[in-house]
Amino acid sequence: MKRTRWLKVLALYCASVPLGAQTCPFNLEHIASKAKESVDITLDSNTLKLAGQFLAGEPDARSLLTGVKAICIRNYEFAKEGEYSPDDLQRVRNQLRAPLWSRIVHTQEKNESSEIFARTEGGRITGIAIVAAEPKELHVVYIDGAIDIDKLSGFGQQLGIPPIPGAARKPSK
Amino acid sequence: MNLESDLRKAMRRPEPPEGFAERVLARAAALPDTPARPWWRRGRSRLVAVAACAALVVAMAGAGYRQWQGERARRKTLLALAVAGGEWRTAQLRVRHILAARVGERMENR
Amino acid sequence: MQFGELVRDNQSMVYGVAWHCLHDRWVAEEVAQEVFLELHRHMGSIESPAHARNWLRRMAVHRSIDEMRRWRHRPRVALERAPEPEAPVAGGDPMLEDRLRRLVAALPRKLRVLVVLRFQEELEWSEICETLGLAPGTARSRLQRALGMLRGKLGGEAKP
Repeated sequence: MKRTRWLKVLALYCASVPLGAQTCPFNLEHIASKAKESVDITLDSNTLKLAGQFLAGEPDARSLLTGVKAICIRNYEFAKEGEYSPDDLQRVRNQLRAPLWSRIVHTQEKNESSEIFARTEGGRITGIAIVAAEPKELHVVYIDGAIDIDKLSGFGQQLGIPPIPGAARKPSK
Repeated sequence: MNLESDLRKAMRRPEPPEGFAERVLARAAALPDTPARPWWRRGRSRLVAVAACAALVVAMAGAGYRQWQGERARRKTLLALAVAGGEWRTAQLRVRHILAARVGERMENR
Repeated sequence: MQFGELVRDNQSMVYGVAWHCLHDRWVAEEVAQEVFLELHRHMGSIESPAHARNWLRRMAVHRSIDEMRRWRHRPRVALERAPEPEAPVAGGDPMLEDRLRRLVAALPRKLRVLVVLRFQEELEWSEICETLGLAPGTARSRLQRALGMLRGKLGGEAKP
């Protein structure tokens, strides 16, 4: 009886831990197993703290990381279209539901979609997630913590994507 | 304009970022398979020197390993931020593109 | 032959291949560092500085191709609006050169690599074929296709 009670307490504790308290809250096994290639980057708070000590020459990156607790990136590439289903994608969205998460951007253009989710706690954004789906690729980005979106937007410039008017300028050298 | 000649000018080798060579050498020094140090012959003073060198090597290896870890964390973090920023901007660009297309459609339908 | 010397003598070449292929300074540095570390692991089999240079070039190309495949290094919108490259290049028409670099970065990866080897490294055809494992005819026709695409993007300004 005592053991059952402890298990119930443990289960209740686990259930009460908000989504996002782990380094990577997503379970994407159902998609990863179908991918031809996958890339997985997980940076927990210790790694980010260590990185911060070696970012003296990158002040923009350093200031961007203030308040960030974790970053997870999952990129999947599939051999052909249709390898992952709309249900697979919905299972990802189901992990980003109210009350904590809300979808703030959703674009659908032909067979490509982009969604941005924000986690709000106490009136402040404490996490963002981006889910970008294409017929043969799926990309998921999760950032735990408060992040300056304008500055983050500036980091995309290194991938050849033009600046959004009003967004942060390219990081200094 | 001669395309091939212009391409040669445009594609000149860029300078690597400052400190690139130093970072490579630091990582290489921390690799586990760096060349072994030569054996020292016996003799008390040499043994003391060997022990001092060994202590220094251990300390430097520790520092070197931390340097390597830190550099690795730095690189992964910068890469992650670049990818995250890129995905964010792509999503925003898609929104702009869709809105612009809708505005265009409305104007055509007038 | 010291590893440090090989790094200093070849860093511009290795980083340049990665940068022109990937168009991202952090990813290019990552790739370039990995290439040199691989050299470090294989120092025992390197016979001369020339051998090291060829080895490094081949490794830089193949690692850049792998990275291009992995990170979707394809700009999503017209590159005409992409930001300026990391390293300024002296001489010539800076705006045209900038535009050309961005257009090259938008080429399909197999064509992009050819352009880098032909115009950054100025390799002979035999060297390009050996580096990429291509038949001469394939290499030449791919480069012609790349130049055709670039001319098309430049709007017919370029003379053949």
